[in-house]
Amino acid sequence: MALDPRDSRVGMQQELAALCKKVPTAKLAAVASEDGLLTATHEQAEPNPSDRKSAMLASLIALARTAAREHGLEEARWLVLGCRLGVMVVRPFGRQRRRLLLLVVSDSEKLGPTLAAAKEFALRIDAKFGLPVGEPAQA
Amino acid sequence: MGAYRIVFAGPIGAGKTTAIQALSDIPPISTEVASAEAEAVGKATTTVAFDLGQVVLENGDLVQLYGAPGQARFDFMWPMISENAIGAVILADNRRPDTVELTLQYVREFAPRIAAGNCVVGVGRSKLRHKPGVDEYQDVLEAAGFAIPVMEVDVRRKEDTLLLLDVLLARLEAAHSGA
Repeated sequence: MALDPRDSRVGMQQELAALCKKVPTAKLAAVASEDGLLTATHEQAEPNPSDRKSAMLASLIALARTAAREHGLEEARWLVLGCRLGVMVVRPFGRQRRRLLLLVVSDSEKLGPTLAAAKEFALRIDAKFGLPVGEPAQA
Repeated sequence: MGAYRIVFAGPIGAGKTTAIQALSDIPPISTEVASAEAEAVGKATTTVAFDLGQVVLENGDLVQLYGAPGQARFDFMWPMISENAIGAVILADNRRPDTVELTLQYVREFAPRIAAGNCVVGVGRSKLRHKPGVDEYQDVLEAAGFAIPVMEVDVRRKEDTLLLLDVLLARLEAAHSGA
């Protein structure tokens, strides 16, 4: 049976909180739909789906994809934005339903483990919540 | 020869991406993705950054065609897209019950960002829903202080969309010549 959207959000929030624990320098972890609607953050509070920051994320990754294609690099797998006070990592993921994972960390020194943790998160979420709404899970 | 920017704006599903695809001389750059609101908005995909096409006019001028994302959460893109634009095509979807009010909102958003407030409204899907008519749009816009041409348009037809551009360019010429 497909997960109720609220159960899905709560489950995703728990996974995001676990991701933040795994990456000690994490300041924010969030998942948004590919068209920029915020699904969940690592915090328990109900997110505002129309959060503009999620929309910016969607624009950013869409432009990065376009640029990658223009350079013949095909699908953009990561977007890493190094800033003075931290790093933004965006990873598009999801085999059936495309989502965006945002991970903001304060330390750019340990980017390798951060990327590995984000990849692991994406694979786990895809396995857990990846089915389209209404599609029964396979045994 | 010059290079100009024209913006296509309007609500989601109004036909901005389709208009640019119909008009552009080159394959347009598109940032369409699957829409999480597909059922609610009746459209499977949506633009999340901008569309970009270009058309070369008979006099050799290059016109860049920028399509703005329709949803308000993407309003941070609107000033970037409108910067230095010489005109805006505001597209309306006549099937929407609030289409006139919505069109006025987009005109209010974009007209102040465009040189001399040079806008034109293209009313789409008026064959599917005849009311409101062009006059009703015109009346509401005029009452709000916007003297803007309103025309029916089928954005899938290049000649229809080219006519919108011609109107914008003619208005620009008229403004420059002081007519």
